[in-house]
Amino acid sequence: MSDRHLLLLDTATETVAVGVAVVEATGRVEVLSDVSRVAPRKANTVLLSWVLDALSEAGCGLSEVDGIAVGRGPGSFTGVRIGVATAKGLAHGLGSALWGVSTLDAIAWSAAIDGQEGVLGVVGDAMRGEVYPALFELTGGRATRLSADRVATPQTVAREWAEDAGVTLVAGNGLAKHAAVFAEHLPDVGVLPESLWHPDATGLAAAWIADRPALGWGSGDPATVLPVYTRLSDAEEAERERAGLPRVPPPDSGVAGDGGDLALRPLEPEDVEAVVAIEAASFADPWTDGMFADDLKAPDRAWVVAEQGGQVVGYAGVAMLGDEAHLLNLAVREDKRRQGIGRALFARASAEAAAMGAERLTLECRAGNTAAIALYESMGMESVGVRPGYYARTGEDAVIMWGRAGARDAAGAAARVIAGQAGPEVAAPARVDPPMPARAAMPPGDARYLLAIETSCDETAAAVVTTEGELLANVVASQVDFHARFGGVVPEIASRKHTEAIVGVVDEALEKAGEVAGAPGVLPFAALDAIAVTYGPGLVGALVVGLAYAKGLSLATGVPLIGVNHLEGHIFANVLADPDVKPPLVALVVSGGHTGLVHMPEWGVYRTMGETLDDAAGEAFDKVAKVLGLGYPGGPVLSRMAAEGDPAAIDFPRAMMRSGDYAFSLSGLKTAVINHIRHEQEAGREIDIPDLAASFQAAIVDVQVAKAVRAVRETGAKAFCLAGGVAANPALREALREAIEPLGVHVSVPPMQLCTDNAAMIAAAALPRLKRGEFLGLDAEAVPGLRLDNI
Amino acid sequence: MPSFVTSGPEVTGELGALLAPLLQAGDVLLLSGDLGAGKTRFTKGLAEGLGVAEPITSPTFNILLVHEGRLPLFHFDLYRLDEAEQLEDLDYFATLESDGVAVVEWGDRFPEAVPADGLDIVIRITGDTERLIEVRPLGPRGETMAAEWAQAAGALGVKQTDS
Repeated sequence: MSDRHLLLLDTATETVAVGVAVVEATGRVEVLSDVSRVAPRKANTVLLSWVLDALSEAGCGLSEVDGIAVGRGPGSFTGVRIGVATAKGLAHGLGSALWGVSTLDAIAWSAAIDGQEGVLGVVGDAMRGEVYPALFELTGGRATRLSADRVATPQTVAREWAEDAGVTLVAGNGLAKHAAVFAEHLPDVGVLPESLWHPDATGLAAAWIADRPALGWGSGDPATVLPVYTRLSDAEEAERERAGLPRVPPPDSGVAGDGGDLALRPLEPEDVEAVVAIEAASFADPWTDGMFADDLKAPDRAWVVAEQGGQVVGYAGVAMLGDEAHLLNLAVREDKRRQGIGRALFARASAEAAAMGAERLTLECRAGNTAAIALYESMGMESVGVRPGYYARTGEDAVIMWGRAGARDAAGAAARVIAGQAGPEVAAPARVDPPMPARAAMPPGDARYLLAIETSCDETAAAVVTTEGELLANVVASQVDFHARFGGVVPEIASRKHTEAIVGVVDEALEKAGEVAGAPGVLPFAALDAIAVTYGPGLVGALVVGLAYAKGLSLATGVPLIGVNHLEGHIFANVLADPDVKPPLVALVVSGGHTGLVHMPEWGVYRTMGETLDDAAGEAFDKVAKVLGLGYPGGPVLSRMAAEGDPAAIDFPRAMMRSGDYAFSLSGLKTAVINHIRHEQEAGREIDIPDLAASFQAAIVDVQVAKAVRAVRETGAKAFCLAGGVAANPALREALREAIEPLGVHVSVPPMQLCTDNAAMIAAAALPRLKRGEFLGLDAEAVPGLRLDNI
Repeated sequence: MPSFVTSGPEVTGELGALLAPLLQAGDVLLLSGDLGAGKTRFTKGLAEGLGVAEPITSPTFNILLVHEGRLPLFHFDLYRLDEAEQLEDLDYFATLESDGVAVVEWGDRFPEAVPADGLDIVIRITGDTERLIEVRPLGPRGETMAAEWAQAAGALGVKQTDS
C-alpha cells in the first residue's frame, strides 16, 4: 500500500493556506510543503497557482493527489466559499476524496505543534463587531476542542473566559480588531504571535487527522462538504424541520454539516437531565439523576459530554481507583451512534484518566454488546475475562477489559507525528473513493462537448452542448432531486447557496448529456473540449462560487476554461433556438437587472449603444406591481392584467423617447405611476388596475420599440433579438415583431424556458469563444460589474 | 438631528453630492423611503461626488452593485431579501467593513442587522416632487457626518428643519 498525498487548502481568513502532506498507511502524516501566506481578498486569483507551487515543492503531481482537506470556516463567507468551491472543483475533477476541516481547529493545532501549552481561546473575526470563539486545550503538541462553534461579541466571550474557562492563551484574526477587549478582561493571558493567528498547512493536516477517530474516513464525497454557517444554523435547522427533513446528517457523511461541530466538554449539573435520558434508553440498569448528581461531586472523577448543535448527544465518565482508572459509563444517543462519537468520548475519557495519573484503565461491557467491544478493542483495550451474571436486571455476563490510559489517543499521536516524532497510531485506509456517479465510457462517434456553469444570481445551473451547438442537458438547481444524494442537507434556504448545489447540478447535467450522447452514465470529463463559466456581471458572492469551482475543475481535468458575460449569454439564448440569428445584429437586453441595446457587428464583438440610467425594465414592472398590491416580483402578473386593460387610458410619460440617443430612464415612469395612484386615492376614485397596467406597459414598450427600431436602422443590422427575463413579456415581443419585421430584419425572441437564467445560454455563448481560442486564466476573478463592450 | 427639505430630484441628488467628500472608508449610509422617493437619485448624486464615472442603476435585482470612485461604492438594495440570514450569504457585514463606502437601500429592513455606526437616512414623499430627508446618526461617526453634512448643506442654501 503506497502513501497517499493530501492537498490542504484554507481561505477562510486573510491567509491563503495551501500545502501538501503525505499520509502513510500507518496514519503517520508529514507535511511536505506549505506555501501559506497572507493575501487579503486575493484568494480567488492566487489559490490555484499556489496549489501548483505547493505540489511542485512537494514533488507531487496533480494526478497523485488522493484527497483534499479544505477549511470550512467559520470565517469570511466569501473566503470560505472560494476555498470550498475550488476544492470541490479539484476533487470532482480528480475523482479524489474531499474532507472539511474546522479553520479554528487548524489554528489551534498549529499553535499546539508550535509547542504552545495551556488553554487556548481562538477568536475568528465574524465581522459586525462579533467573533467566532472556540476553546482548546493544548498539551504535548496536541489540541483538544473544549467548546462548539458559535458567534458572540468579544465582550461576552472575554467576560466568560475571564470567569471560569482558565484561558491562558489567545490567538485568531479576531484579535486584530478586538485585542483590547481581551487584554482588559484577561490581563494575564498570553497573546500568541500573529504568525499563529491563521491556519497553515501543518495545522490543517493535524486537524484533519485528528478528526478521523471521531468522524471516521467518511465518504469523501465532494458534494457533501459544506461551509460552517454559524449564524445560519438556527434558521437552517428550522427550515429542515419545516421541510420534514431529519435533523441528523447521514452517518456516512462525517465531513458534512453537523458532524463538524461535535464538541467535548465537562459534564455540568444542567446536563444531567439529558444524560439520564440517554442513560435510560441505553442500559437495562440505568443510573438515576440522583446517582449522577452525587457522582459529579465525588473526588477523582472526570465526566465529559459530547455536544452537537447545542444538544448533549453522549457522555462518559471515569473514576480513579488507586493508580488505576475505571470507566464508569459511556453512552451515545441512539440516533447519533455509529458516527464516531463513542470513539471520541472514549479517547477523551481515557486521556482524562491519564491526566489524573492513571496508567491503566479498566471497564466492563455487556457481553452481548459486540459493537462496543469491537470499538474498545480498536482503541487498544483487551478482554481479560468475564464476570458472570454481572448485570443484575438481565443476568447477563460482563466482559472485563483493560488497557493503557490515554495510550490510544489517536489524534494526539497523529499530532506528534506531524511534530516529527514517529508513532503509528491511526490506520489509514488505502484510499477513500468518494461515491461519485459512475463515469460512462467515452460516447460513440467523434463528437466533443462543452460544459457550462452559471451562478451569477439566484440559480445554480449547468448545461452540456456539443461543440456543434446541440443542447444535450440544461439543469437548474431547483429541478434537481438533491434529497436522494444529500439526505436533505441541501439547499432548503436560499437558492443562492450555490456552494452546496454545484457538484450535484454538474453531475446531473453530465448524466443527462451522457444519456443523450449514447453513453449512459455520467459523461466523462475527457469528452469535454471546454468548461465555460459566467464570471460577471452579477452578485459577487454568487459569481465566485461558480468561477472557483470551474477553475478547480479545469485545473484538475486539464480542460480549458472559457469566461462568459451573463448578458452575452442572454443574447445567445436566441442563437441556441434560432439558427438565423447571426451578426450583424442588434439585441435588446431587458431583464430584472439590466435594460440596454447592444450592437453585435460580428461574433464576439459587442458595443452597448445605450442602457438604462436608473431602473431596469423588469424592476419597473416588479415595483409597480408591488405598489398595486400584486406581490413581488409581480411583473408577470402585471403584464397579464395589462392584456385586459386600455393602453391609452392614462398618458404616462415616455421618458427619453426623443432624446436622440439610446439611453433609457424608467425611474420617472415609476414615480408617475405612484403619483397617479396617490392622486386617485386622494380624490376617492377607485383605480382601474388593468387600465393602469396596460398604460404603464404601453409607456415602457413604446420607448423600447422606438429605440430598437432606430438602432436597427442606424446599424444596418440584419437580425434583431430580444433577450433577458422581460423577453417573456407578450406585449413587448409582439410590438417588436410588428415594428421591426417590416424593415426586412429577422426578429428572434427566445423560447420561454431560456428567458430566465440558465447555463444553456452560457454554453451557446462560449462556443464562438472556443472556436476563436479565447480562454480564461486560472487567476481569473469574478467581475460583478463586467461590461459587455469590447469595442 | 438634521432634516432637509428638497424641492425636486435634482436637489435630492445635490444633497448626496454634498455628502460625498465627507465620507471615509467603512462609512455606512442606510437609505429608506417609499418606492419612487428618490433613493437611487440620492445615490447618483453621492456617486458623482465620489467620482464614479459609470451610470448608477438600481441594485434591486442584483442586490449589490459595486462602483469604483475615490472610494469604492458598495450600493446595496435589501428589498428582495426575505430574512436577515440571507445577509450572511451576501457577506454583507464583511463588505460594510471593507475599504469603501456602503449605501444600503432598504437598510432598515432587518432591525437586527442595523450597523453600530453610520447614518440612517429616510426620504419621505411630501409632494409630487418635494421630499423631506430625515437624518439619524447611528453612532459617533454618524454624529460627525451629520454635523458636517448639515454645515455643507447650509452653505449651499438647502432648506433645513430641526426635528
